[in-house]
Amino acid sequence: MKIKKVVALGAALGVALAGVALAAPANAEPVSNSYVLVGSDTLQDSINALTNGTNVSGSVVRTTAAGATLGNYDAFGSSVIQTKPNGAYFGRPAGSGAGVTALRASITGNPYTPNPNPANVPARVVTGQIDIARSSSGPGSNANSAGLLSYVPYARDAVAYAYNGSNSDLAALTTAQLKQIYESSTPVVIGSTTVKPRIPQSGSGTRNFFLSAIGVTTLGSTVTDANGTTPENDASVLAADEIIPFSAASWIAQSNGATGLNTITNANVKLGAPNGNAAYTGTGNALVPSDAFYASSFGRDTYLVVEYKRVNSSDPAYDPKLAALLNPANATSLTNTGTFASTAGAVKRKFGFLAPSSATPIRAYTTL
Amino acid sequence: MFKKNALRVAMVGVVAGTIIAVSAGAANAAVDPTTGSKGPLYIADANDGSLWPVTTPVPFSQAVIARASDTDLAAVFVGSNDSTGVETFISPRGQETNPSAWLAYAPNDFIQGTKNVSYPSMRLDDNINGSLTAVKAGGNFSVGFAFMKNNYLNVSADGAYFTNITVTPGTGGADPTWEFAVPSTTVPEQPPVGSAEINLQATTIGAVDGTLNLVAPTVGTAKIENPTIVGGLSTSTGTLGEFTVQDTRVVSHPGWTVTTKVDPFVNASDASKVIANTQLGLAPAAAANFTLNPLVTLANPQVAGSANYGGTGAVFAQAGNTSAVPESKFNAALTFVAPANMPAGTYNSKLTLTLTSK
Repeated sequence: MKIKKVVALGAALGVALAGVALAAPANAEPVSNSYVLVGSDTLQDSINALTNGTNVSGSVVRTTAAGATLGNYDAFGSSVIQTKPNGAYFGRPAGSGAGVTALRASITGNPYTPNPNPANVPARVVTGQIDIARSSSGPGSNANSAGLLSYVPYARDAVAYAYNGSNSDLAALTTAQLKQIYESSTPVVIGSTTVKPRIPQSGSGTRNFFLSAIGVTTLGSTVTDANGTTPENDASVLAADEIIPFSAASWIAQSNGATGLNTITNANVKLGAPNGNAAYTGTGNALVPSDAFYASSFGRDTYLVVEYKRVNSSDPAYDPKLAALLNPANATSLTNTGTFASTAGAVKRKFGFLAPSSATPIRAYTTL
Repeated sequence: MFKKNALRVAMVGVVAGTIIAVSAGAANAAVDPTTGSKGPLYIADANDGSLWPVTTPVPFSQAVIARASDTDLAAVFVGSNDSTGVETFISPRGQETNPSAWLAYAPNDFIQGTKNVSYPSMRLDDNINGSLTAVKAGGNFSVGFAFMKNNYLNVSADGAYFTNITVTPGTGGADPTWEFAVPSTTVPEQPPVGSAEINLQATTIGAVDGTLNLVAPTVGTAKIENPTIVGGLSTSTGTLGEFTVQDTRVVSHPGWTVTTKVDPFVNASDASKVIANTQLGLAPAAAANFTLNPLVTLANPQVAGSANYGGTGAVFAQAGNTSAVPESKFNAALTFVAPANMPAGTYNSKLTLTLTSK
């Protein structure tokens, strides 16, 4: 009998704590006055700058929806978010995959559960709560010309790897070495360094792209956080001799001081040059993306994903304000790729992005 | 009477003036010319900074920006430490520097590390605070930005830059559009602080050997700096430079008169553009750290806009025949106000000082 009471008390406490977390998020973010973006960590900082306003390009640039402010929610933070007035609190989509999944749920009305879900946030109906998903990778095999989603090119990024090393052993790993490191179930030694591979959480577009770029389909057991929640583009997680896929744009943005948070201050943390090709030129706070590296197999187009019919001018559901946000011809649209100081494209360049290789949207997902 | 025992010494100089002409006339006849802006403001395409065609109405949601110059894409709007913030605004005309009367507004910002502003957004939709309802209904307004202080409560000394606009309501759900007034003239290329060197090059003819002399530097340079907009007009200020009258005629001591003559100001690049000498204000004064003898009398200042130098010159200073004043040192404050209908540029003139014995 006593044992049963102890167990019951523990369960009751657990439920109570979870309830507190859901009812009163410690860091509530303002709700959006118009559209909502969630998803990729890689794209969040540059879009935060655009939606909140920035003068990083030399002129104040702010993206609004016909004057209404946007809500751009980070990939990481409090476990739940509320995105629109009186809307549901739901699990924060952490990464590209989770962002697209949440957008699909917002369209279908199916309950959304974040994945991964370390806080055990319950499923929530999020109908109409999300308008755009940030995705650092394309639709892959889900691409379909009759798709219900549209992947609108946002910018060109590249993925390298960050490492924490006191020597140059890990400075210029080849694709073959990287493949070996991430597939191996026994420690891989490069020079005098026993490499310890890390990987961002499973919903990360950066993770998926990097593994694809190096030809890895199954992670080796030396990747200890294969099923973990390691955030992407956060070099502060790196201990000595560890490496992790890292967005070149994010590295450049952090080094340039464009982001609010700088995780690359450790002197031993550096951005590796895959196959000897550096991702950037310049030093200090004046890094510039390398055209050659971004054009290589480590370069990737990134996207903003939206329901196709809302940006299809021949559809009754067409939303001209949403379409304008994604029209690159508009100087301050999210997808603009201009270079003049008052354009969104100029802001994105300060965040380490180049123009995408193609401006043509890709349709995907015939069913949601 | 001036010709009696006349000893004439002439000092001839060249006065070069710089003008910021603000909205003296609107290229867009549909919109009244702007008055009261701190300086010219040009509407441009946010995509590349190209000037927006004045004949093309601007959609309400079109991304457009303000430029400080129509010729220098890199020109910025210059602020000072008096400013702590920047806001864009739409206001009723005449209320541009009265934030409490603004209809809609939004925060903007300086260029990082400076108090200057570059390419502030002029898209009407971007003024997210207040209400755009009245604006979208159509009518006459001003759009621009202001340097602010006191936590955005007040416009700072750096002022507000704006242009008149006329809004046409949208029909059938279409975006409203607006047209704007443009400054009619070209702002001269100059340092971004608006400073310009205005040289006064003084030369003298050979001094007459006698007891009455006017001494001036053989080559003098004066600077007229900080052209600013006062009452919508370009106003530049400077000093004439020191000169001295020496009179050792202790026996006869007949007295003397200094007169000033100013030629019309001619545009350096277009001789057909001439500004009357009435626009040069001149305030006679003793030289710095020099006290004039009470027997010397300074003439009243000539006021820019209504100055009168007459056909033979206006009196600058004079001394009577009580006794000789051995040395009198002078200077003068210059104010040059450009008429609103004259183009910006450099204007040259000759200023002649004549010393005559009574």
